[in-house]
Amino acid sequence: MDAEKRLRLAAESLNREALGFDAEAFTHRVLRRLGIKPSDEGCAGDSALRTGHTPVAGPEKGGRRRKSDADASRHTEFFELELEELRSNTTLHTDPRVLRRIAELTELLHGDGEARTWWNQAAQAGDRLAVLTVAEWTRDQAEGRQTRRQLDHGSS
Amino acid sequence: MSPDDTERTFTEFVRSYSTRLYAIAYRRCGNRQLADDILQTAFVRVWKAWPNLMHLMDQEAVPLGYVHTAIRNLVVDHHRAAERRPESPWEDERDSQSPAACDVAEEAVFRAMGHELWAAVATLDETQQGLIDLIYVGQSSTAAAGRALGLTETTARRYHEAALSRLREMIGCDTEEDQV
Repeated sequence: MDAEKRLRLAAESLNREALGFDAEAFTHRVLRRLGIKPSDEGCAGDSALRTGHTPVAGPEKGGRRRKSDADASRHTEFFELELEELRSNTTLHTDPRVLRRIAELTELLHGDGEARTWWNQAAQAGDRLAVLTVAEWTRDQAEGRQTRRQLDHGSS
Repeated sequence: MSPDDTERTFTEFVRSYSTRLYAIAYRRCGNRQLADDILQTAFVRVWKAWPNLMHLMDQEAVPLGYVHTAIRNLVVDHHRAAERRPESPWEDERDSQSPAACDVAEEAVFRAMGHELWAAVATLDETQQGLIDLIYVGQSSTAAAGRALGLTETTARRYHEAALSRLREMIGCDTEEDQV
């Protein structure tokens, strides 16, 4: 049986286990822990009817909270913050996984071109997945050159 | 958004995703009570970031990725605290139950197969494990799983393929038919 099929079957077994999980009771436990009154108990939208002290939702003191209208830009912003933090913390740039994460996020947010330098750095530092990525480009480029040569040869 | 909206959207999020995320937490730790505790703590962490995450509810990917990362970190912390040996990365508490506890006979086979498989998955890179969790256990598409983890679709596919290929090396194929 192939790995993918095995994964599907093993995941199905886990998901059957999860069928015994009481999501509603769990939700109540989480809300109680946070001091939030469950909305299905007749207090939806009424913050005065709370079970106790409600911790303030939001980043810890000193964290960042920004307002933005577009969901798409918020999506980007979330990863921009991670990228900004990793790029600025140069002491972490000896860790191959950090270099790869910068490459992944740069690729996602700013495109392939800008990300290449980081992929190369991560590969040079020995990150296995970065090595794989760089090897794939090299192979694609070589195949592209060969195809172009064949096309040129055919047309001449 | 008012504080009530913050609470309402958070409650919706917990209700909608807790079952899927519980399965992922269980995959990571193999113990029902621990999975429940870890998931609760992960949601408490998410609550702190909720004002930034709540606007992304309809995109699903980012909040899901955030909880997934929290689960992963909490399981790692737990293993460190318990000084678990790295050579037994995944133990399923269901293994110690008698076969009669299984709903169907096939379930025992799935569990035995899953034990070897999840132990192999635990040796993969963390990002690849995240993709496996979200694609197979969380039932997301490769593109959505990639978005949740901050990867382009191309990179998510590349990592996924590499993970499958590594798993094939580790666990092999059982039948000739499947190797075709």
